[in-house]
Amino acid sequence: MSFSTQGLPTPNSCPVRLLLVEDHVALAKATAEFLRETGLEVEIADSGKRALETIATFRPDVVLCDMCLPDMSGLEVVKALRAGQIAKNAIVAMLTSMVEADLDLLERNAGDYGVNFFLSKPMTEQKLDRVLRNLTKPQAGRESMPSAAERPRLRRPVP
Amino acid sequence: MKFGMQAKTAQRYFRFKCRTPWAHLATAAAAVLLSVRIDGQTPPPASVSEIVAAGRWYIIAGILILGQTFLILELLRHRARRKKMQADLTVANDQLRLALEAGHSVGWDWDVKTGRDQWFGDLQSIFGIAADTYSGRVEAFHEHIHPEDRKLVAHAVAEARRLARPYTAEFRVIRPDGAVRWLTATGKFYYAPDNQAERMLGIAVDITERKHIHEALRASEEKFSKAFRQSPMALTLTRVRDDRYIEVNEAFERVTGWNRDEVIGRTPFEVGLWKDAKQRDDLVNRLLKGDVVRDFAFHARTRAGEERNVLGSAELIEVDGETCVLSVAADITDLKRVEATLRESEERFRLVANTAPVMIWMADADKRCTYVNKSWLEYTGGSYEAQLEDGWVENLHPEDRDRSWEIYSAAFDRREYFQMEYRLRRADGEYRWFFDSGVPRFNADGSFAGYIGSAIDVTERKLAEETLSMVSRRLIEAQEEERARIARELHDDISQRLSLLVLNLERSRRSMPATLTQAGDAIGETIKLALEISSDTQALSHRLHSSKLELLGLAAAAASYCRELSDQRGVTIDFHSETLPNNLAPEIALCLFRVLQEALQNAIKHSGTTRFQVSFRSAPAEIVLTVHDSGRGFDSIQITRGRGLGITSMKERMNLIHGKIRIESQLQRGTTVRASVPLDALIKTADSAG
Repeated sequence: MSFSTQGLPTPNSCPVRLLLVEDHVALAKATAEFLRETGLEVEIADSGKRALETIATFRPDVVLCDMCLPDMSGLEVVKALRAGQIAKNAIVAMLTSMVEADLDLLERNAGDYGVNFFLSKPMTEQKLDRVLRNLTKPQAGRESMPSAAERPRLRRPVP
Repeated sequence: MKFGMQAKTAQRYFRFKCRTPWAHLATAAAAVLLSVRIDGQTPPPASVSEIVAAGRWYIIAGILILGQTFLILELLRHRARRKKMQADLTVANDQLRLALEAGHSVGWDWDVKTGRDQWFGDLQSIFGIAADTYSGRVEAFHEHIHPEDRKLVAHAVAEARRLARPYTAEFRVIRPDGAVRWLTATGKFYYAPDNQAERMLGIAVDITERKHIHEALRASEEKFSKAFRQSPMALTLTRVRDDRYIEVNEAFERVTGWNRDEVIGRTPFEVGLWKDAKQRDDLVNRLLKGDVVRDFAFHARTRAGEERNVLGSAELIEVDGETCVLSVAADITDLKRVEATLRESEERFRLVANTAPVMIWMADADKRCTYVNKSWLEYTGGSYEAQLEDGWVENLHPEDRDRSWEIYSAAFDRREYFQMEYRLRRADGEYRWFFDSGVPRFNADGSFAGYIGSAIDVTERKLAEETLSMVSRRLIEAQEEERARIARELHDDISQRLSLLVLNLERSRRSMPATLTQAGDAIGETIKLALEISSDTQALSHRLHSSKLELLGLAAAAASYCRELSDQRGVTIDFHSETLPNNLAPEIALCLFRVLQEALQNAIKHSGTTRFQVSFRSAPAEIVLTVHDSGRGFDSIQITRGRGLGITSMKERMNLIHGKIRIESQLQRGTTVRASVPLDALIKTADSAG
């Protein structure tokens, strides 16, 4: 599947900002590349602390966060995000190493954690779709909602 | 006496009385005739010679008149005497009667010729006749006699009569009211000059009471005789005077081997029974002094020469007017032998008890200590007396005293085996662990006699146990650490690399031209495979060390695990859980999780079934995990072999969190593992907060 078939915003919109919180360097890089290929602007943070700092400056629209971080749990990052002022309504997807089946349980309680999605590693196209799909829908109370002109511009994948 | 004399006088008088009237008449007639003859014949005398001549007749008349006067006087005198005699006789009669009545006697006067019988005396109580005298036929008398005695009486009477001997007889009479009285009668026959019996006088005395007394005495004597003869103890009667045997009983014969005939009339020394002459003399002297001899022990020699131990008592009694020694003796030789054997046995016990390396103790039915062996004394360094009653408790470690006493006391009340462990203070003050066990003892008659037990030093074992426990704990910790490490590696390293792999594959697929559908599909397949590997690896990692526990909580994590396992192994696991407290300490959650894993793995491996039930229950005071299957089960012997490690590990884990685990299984009836953790251990302390 490619985004082109999904009626996504026009290339003229500004890119969707995505913060990737992942401490495994190689994986982070590869994932970032993978994501950038779909037209996202990606920043990497390799720890919870770094993530919170980056949120303040980068103001992501989407946060993709690993559950296990060296200094704190991914959930704590989310908690801080939601409690804070900046990007508090960003879409948050937690990356866990749980099997799919267990995710249901987590997803059911997702609201409690302030998380929008629970995803299992590794990241795949499908999962990415699922997360980004939501970007097409206007979210109530979403901060700095980009205007039609500001909507992320997605580059088409290079054939 | 008086009566006798009067009787004689009466007899004489009787004869005299007959003749006197005629004598009177004769003399009176003679006197008158003479007077007439004198008066009618001659003129009145003129001279002395005539007077003298006539005087002859006057003298004769005078003499006759005098004679007559004397006779008349004599007659009067006789009459007076007769009257007196009669009066005397009446008095005598009355006196006799009174005497007879008082003495319960009856007298009789039998006129043999006429057959008339006169009775007087106590007729009321003997014959039941309410009168002072009774006059009847002699046959009437015979009627009163007891039928069985009539012949005897008749014979006695006949004999006495024939032989002119005093009559005596003892017989019974029956009163009209049916009462039987015994009489002893004596009497005498009186004969006429022609030796015909004229009269019989006699007296019969009521001896009924005396007879009864005699009977009673005879019965009593018979009883005594019987008792003497048949007593199981050896009884002897010896005369004090000459120390000869008067009587011995059957028991004596049995014990000594001598026959009665062989000893009667001989002294104990002649017979050879008593060994020590002086002993016997002392005995007799003491008796004579008035002492009572009881439980006197001496040696006796049997006929066969065998020596026996005898225990006896003796007393002085009168027999037929002679002072005798009555002695009662029992042969206690066998008893003494048994006592000796018992003593020997006790000695042997003490020897064993004191040389055994274990400590031995005994207590009576009231829980009081009555014996400790040398081992105990040497170890504790205390005195024997100090251990008795409840003293032994002092040697126990203060912390172990209450608990030990509880166990001891409770077992005592139930008369059951018990065992307990406590620390016992050594003479040098050091405490060592002892394993003490006791069993109840019973007397021969089944009554409870107390306890006997032993204590053994198990300090080494206890230390070993503690060490083992510690080692187990360390092992478990190490195991967990290892698992966590592996899990982490899988997670951190392998999982990530797999993720990377998948990503790269995804990118490759992206960059694949749409036309190369086959290649695209191939990559797609590869991605799927990679995802599977990733998933499995994650599952493995979680099995080893799950962050799920923290994240999801015990119940959810357990449910997830069960689901994974059932998918993996193709079995059905029915999972049910109540709401568990969410502040569960991580050690407890982990422990229960591990127990669940172990139990399920075992069940899947050994039960032979494919359906299992897992449940978590939250009770007010505890959490209970149950893993159940209805498979082939196992018996408890197996459980300690073979699968030992898994179960030991479960037990150790549960110990660490102060929980309990119980495994119940019956062949063909299934297996249930039940693990419970008490409430107060559940609260996660602030310090251990992750």
